[in-house]
Amino acid sequence: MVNVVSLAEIIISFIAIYYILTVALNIKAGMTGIPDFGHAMFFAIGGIVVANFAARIAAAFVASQLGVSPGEAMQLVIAENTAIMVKINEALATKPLLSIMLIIFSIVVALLLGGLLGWIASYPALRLRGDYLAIMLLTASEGLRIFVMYTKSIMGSTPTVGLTTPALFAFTGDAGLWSTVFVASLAVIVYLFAERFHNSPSGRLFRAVRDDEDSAEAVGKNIAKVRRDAMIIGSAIAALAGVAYSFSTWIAGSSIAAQSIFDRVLWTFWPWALMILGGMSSNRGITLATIVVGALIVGPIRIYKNQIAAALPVDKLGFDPGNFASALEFTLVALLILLVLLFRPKGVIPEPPSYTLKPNELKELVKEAGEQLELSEEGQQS
Amino acid sequence: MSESIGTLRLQRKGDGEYVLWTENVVKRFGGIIALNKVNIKLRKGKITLLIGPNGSGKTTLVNVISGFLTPEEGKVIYKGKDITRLPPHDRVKMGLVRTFQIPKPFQNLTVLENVMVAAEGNPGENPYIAAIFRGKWKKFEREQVEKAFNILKWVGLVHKWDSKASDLSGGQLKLLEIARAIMKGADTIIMDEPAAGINPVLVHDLFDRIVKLSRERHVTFLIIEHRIGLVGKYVDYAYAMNMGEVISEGEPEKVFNDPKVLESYLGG
Ligand SMILES: Nc1ncnc2c1ncn2[C@@H]1O[C@H](COP(=O)(O)OP(=O)(O)O)[C@@H](O)[C@H]1O
Ligand SMILES: [Mg+2]
Repeated sequence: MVNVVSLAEIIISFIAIYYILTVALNIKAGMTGIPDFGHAMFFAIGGIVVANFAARIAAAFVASQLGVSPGEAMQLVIAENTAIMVKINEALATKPLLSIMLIIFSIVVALLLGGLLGWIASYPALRLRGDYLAIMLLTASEGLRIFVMYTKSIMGSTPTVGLTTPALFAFTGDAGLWSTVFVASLAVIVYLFAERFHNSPSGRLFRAVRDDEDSAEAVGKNIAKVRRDAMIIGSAIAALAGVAYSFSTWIAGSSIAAQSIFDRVLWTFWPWALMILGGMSSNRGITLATIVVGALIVGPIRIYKNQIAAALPVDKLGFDPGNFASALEFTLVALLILLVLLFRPKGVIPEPPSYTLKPNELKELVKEAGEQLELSEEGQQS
Repeated sequence: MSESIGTLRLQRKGDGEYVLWTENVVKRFGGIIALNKVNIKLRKGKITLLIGPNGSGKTTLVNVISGFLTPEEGKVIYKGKDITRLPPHDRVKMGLVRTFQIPKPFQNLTVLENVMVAAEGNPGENPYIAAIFRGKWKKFEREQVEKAFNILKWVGLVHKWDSKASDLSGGQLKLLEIARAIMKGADTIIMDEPAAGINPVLVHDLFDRIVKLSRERHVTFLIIEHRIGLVGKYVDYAYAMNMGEVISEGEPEKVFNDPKVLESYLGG
């Protein structure tokens, strides 16, 4: 049996991480129309920043407690990862200030590096369109995954085991709870940002470029710049999701691996699915889809899938209950997507306009415009 | 009425001078010569008509003038500057705006949003500040919304301000393209077959508005139309093209009755 409090924390962390990651994809794909099938690589940046950069800095700061020089301590983070991280994490548990500084450092650096990688990836995005761009970004992500997997100094010597993450929430005494609170707070901030961004002239401009590039050029917009900005902002937020994931003791555990942070099913496919379910360019739709799918899959299904498979007569239909159980969550999401595409092709909440002014304000202005013109037209006639 | 769109400056000075011209423009598509040494000139504040049968190169010329295509030979001069290789959005910033033969609205944006995207110099279009520092653009945005509503009223679309562009009829989409061009503050507007597919009543309505814009606002127009006679009475000067070449130019009546022009239509 799973403890109810832990289950709630797991679900909340899962929803928060996926929400941030899906908002990031939505800025690129939903709002601007860039088919980013390489989304996972930007997410992975966040993992690298925490497991490598933040860990090395932590090592340098606690080197004296380990009896080595700061330089040596930083090297040991890769060379003797498991052994040294146990000691570093013991030390971090008693150092709230250092932990908090590393949390802030991770967020800032991940945003910058994610944005930088997005900027680099935007160069093909300026020249390629549609399928070609999608394949190119997918290939770039896979290429980077392989490079990172076999570059020991980035994610350690074993691609599937990876690096123990610095326990940045250990000082709170309940890392599960406080990492959940923190990650959820990040998600709330991202929600507010996404709402404001959508309802700004920039949100409107991104959506316009997506709808028609020629028309956007014809009204004087530099579409290359818009696509580049979308890649930078969306990728920076994806790296933030990677940081949130690495912070989460419930979702990432105590270590992260190159293999898993670049996983294209988890970090590219899932956010695409959530975005399609919620509605392209629909922040509220995405929120709803992430909450429903998160609560549905991480909650009952991931935990009780074997019981569900056993209870249903799946063996009579010719399925192996074990295989059925492990495929259950994908099957259900696929079913959800089919239903949504059939009955609500624009997502559960279709894309709203960009309300740069409140709807009421607009209604007042449109009335005023009408009255003014009627008055002046009468004036002309007389 | 006129002051409601007051942000368009009244520029009476220089009316009648050439504001835009092409010099021996050549454009090929593989073996086809779509434009063969084309020279046309637009007088400031006047309405110039370009006619010609289907496939004669009219849209290609619009694409070359607006920057959507680069010619193999020749030049495009606008406001005294060689713009032959300037990207479209930079030409727009100079005041040169085009509409499309097949309307290209932002389908999922509302009518108001479609027009608002055309506002020039919106500080809220800097995506790095837009969400965080809303104070930097709120005032500008409000002023532009007022302007957009006045333009929509003027083209007769204000009642549709809240509809998605995808819900508009073909004629309404043409009007929306015009509203965008006016919102842009363009002083030179090139319209590729604005009357095609619109019912005749609306065509005359539309051309009344175009004449008004040119007379009151001194906006320069190049209007493409392949049906002789339909819009002749509204225009100041005409060019006729056939097979990528200008075959006649002058007073509209003269061009319409030019045997070469009549022949080109019979042949096409
Ligand atoms: N993008 C293109 N690729 C190849 N041929 C083209 C292209 N655009 C136009 N053409 C050809 O150029 C000629 C002129 O076309 P167009 O300018 O569209 O004529 P109009 O607008 O007068 O009907 C036609 O023969 C057309 O088939
Ligand atoms: Mg044409």
